[in-house]
Amino acid sequence: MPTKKQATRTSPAAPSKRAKSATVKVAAKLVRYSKGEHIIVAPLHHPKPQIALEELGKARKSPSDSDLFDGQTAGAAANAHLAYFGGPLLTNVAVVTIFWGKKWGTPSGVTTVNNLNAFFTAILPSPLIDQLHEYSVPGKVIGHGSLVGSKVITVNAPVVSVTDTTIRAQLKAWIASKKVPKPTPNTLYFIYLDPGIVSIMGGSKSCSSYCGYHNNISGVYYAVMPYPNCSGCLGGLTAFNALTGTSSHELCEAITDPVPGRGWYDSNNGEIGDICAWTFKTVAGYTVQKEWSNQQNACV
Amino acid sequence: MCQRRVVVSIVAALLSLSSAACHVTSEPSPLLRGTWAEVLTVPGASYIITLDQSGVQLTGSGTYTIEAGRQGTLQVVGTYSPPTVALTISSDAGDRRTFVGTLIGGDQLRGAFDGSSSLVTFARR
Repeated sequence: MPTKKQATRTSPAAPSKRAKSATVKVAAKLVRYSKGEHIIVAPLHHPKPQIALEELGKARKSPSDSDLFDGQTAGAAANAHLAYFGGPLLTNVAVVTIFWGKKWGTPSGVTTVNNLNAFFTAILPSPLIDQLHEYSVPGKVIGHGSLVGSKVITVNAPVVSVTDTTIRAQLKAWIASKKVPKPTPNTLYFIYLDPGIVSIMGGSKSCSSYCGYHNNISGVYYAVMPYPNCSGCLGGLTAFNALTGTSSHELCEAITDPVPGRGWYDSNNGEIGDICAWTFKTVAGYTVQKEWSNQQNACV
Repeated sequence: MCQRRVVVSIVAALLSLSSAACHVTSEPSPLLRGTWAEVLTVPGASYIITLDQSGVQLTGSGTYTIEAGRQGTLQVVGTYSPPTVALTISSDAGDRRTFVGTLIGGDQLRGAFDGSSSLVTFARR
């Protein structure tokens, strides 16, 4: 990983040797992504989802539930600063939502699908994306995005848990069979899992280690969003607001750092969303996470 | 006189053996004392505990950060019966996890949470 000294901002157009070296180190460390699938999938010990899909469907009818939030917020780390490591950026992100599971096809599931798609339709051309403009670099200007596709897929749906390796293989198969739009350099596939499905990434699991993650397969960018069914991923929010909050976290990270550690990254504090984790605001009527601003030196 | 010497020698030997036996069964060294971080593959996540050891008893505290999720504090109680380490870790969110593993080389704890077959590793910081 880059050292603290290396985390200082580098020239976007010509990353320093230090930054390049740091990038290689980051990349070397991240090799574990693809190697980490030695996990044996164990019977699920997690409780059943605490929130039913029906509740998700009603969520948008409820007034803002930000007052219900009782999770601890992350104070922005002192000396946080994102440095650019020369990698790709999603300049006009083209989101494709994939709802993988049998429950997404039920009436209540469809309501949630529509609500999440409405969220992306509203948020991609919103001030949330405008604020990422400061991370533009020569030749890569970050602007508004759009929702370009959505698909509910029930075939081969996970039953108990699903590994990142399986998701990657499935995504490639969906692309090859044209079930989902072909990727462009700006495409970001958001894969939502059924309630109760545990996501496994290397030695880490959803809920205990993450509420979502983003990654890439040789230039194909994707985010995995397990259904929030635990206190660590709800923190007092409704499931729908938790989903939009964590989705916005992964969205902004994927735009500014689509290949983790090779875009805008802080060696000590992580990506743009990590620095401000679990601090929220409302944009276009939706709960979204605050993101780190180098210019303002704050979570905004 | 000679018989007395023999008896004294035997008693001394027994005392020595007894002492050695006591040494073998004495409390384990505080090898677990210190800060341990779970090795995680997802950037943005961390799980760090600091342990104190008194004999076989372990206590401690820590912090966690869930990627795209909340962060908070941890409380730890447990035991160390070489080489087995058993920890019960409670989070401020009300979750409780049980880690059972072994100490490897003094700087790694390898085991599993909640009886899972997925191995996790804590590395000494």
